[in-house]
Amino acid sequence: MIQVTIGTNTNRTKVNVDPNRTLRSVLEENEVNYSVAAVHLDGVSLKPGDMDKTFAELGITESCYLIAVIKADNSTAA
Amino acid sequence: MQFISSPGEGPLIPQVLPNELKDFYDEMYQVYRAGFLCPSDSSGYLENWQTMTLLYPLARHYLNKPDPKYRLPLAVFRIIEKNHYGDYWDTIQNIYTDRIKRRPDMHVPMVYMIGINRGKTEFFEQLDADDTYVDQKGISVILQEDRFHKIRFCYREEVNTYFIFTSKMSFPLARKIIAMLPGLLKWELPTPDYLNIIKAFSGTDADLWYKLISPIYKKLTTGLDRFRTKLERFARDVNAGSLRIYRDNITKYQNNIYSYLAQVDSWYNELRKNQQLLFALENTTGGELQEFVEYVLKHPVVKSFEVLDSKRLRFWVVTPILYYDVDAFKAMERNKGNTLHNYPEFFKDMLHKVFIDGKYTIYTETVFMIDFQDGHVAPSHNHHEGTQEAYTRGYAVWQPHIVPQTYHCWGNNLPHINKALKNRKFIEGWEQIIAATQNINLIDTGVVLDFWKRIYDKQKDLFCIQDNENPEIQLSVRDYQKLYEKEHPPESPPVDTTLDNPHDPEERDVPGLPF
Repeated sequence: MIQVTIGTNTNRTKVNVDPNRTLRSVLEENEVNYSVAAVHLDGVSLKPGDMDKTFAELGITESCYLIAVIKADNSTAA
Repeated sequence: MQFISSPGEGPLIPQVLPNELKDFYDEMYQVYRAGFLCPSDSSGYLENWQTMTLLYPLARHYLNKPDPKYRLPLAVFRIIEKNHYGDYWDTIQNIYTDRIKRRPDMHVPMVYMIGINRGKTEFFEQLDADDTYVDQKGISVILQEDRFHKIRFCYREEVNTYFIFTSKMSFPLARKIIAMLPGLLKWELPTPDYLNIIKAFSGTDADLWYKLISPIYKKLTTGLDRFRTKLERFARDVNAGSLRIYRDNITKYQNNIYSYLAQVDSWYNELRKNQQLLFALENTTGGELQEFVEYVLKHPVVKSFEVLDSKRLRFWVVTPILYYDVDAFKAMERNKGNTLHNYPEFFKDMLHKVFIDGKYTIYTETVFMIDFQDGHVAPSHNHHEGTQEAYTRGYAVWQPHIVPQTYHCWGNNLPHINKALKNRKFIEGWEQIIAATQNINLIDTGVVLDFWKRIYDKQKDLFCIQDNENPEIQLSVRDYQKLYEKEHPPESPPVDTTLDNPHDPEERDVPGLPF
């Protein structure tokens, strides 16, 4: 089991999960709406296809931070 | 002896005093002033040495009573003269002023003589029609000096004032008014024969009046008895002074206690605030901040950081541009009038391979500061000082939306960032910052054109793009230009697009480019 810290703009939880589970399934189980979020795994932005990879495939063996933040635009401000 | 018979002599006190009273004047004046106030009587109709001589024994009598402060002063005298120009309410308003309505000594009866100089007939006609001022005919008849003399004596209880409207001002009239007051205001007479003195005062024989009152002064001016009042007053003043000192001291000490309490309260609040901060910091140690420190030390995007002070850190991060609008770039390419087309082919090709083909990814350097105590992200510390270049570490070209001294555009990310930081969710706040640095809003033309210009011009040698298939291939704009020119050898001698203009480094624009 690995400890995954799932953080969003509104919540933070720590869950123990099987390293062979995919990121997507863990996010869904914890009710994180990743469709409107940018998901970072230990500070690295996920590439297309990474969501369906397992933690083990992404090299996570002990613990990790899975942070989903709001996708928002930059805008001009002088 | 004469009564004062003209206004000019009234104010001449004490020069016109009889000799035997001159030495006594200071004492007399003090006692009289304790009994009677007179804010307005420039001609001395009601306040002159003779009135003072008459009323001195009365004031002294009251002053010698226990608790004189509850009885004195006995009256307030006020005299004015008014012209009436036809507007009755205007005239009355000038007479019955706000100051009279709100005088602080309302419990003291005021004797207010008003001489009407012009428009007398009309004024008195309208006064008679005014229910507010009801003439006490019994008194006004006594005061009337002749059949042409118009006089009205009215009392208004709400201001405790006797209004005496008169068409003629005179000293005999004033004396009659004075003589009437002991009965009207129910004063205690100091001696049994005082009533006779008053009658003489209101008459026409000044010698008689002075003859009657002289014994009182003779008694006072012989021996030391004249000083009795002064000494008694002095003793009272000393006591009052001592009391006042003690009262003042008590008030002062009370105020000191209050201010000490306020200060203690303020210190207590400071202490409490510090305890809370300490508590928060203690919890942070090994808590959120500690966790964040561990997190960020392993974070792949962090290139450098600097401790600014006890609460702020400055970071340099290099992040890929991951979020952009492909359609916006396609629109730029389609629109031949777009500034993009002013750039050489290699540059357009590089951007095409970034945004359309996905062969390369732009990497940018961002410098920012996090305040961990207040919980917010800010431009680099003192970012308006020095040159822009002072802020770069040269890890990569600058993030177009977060440029020292120019842009600090976190856009819609900012509320999420600051909310997380304020709630001490530093990791979430951090990742929101990083997500913001990975975003380029291509529709924001001003920022984007500025970006093209900067990476083409000033930052041509900084790391800019990375090959997505071979991450070890990291290129600057100049590197890409060389690569491109190698793959696309020019048919004619290449145009020197080097932007280093030795004459003016600030204006290193490409020849032919409209910016």
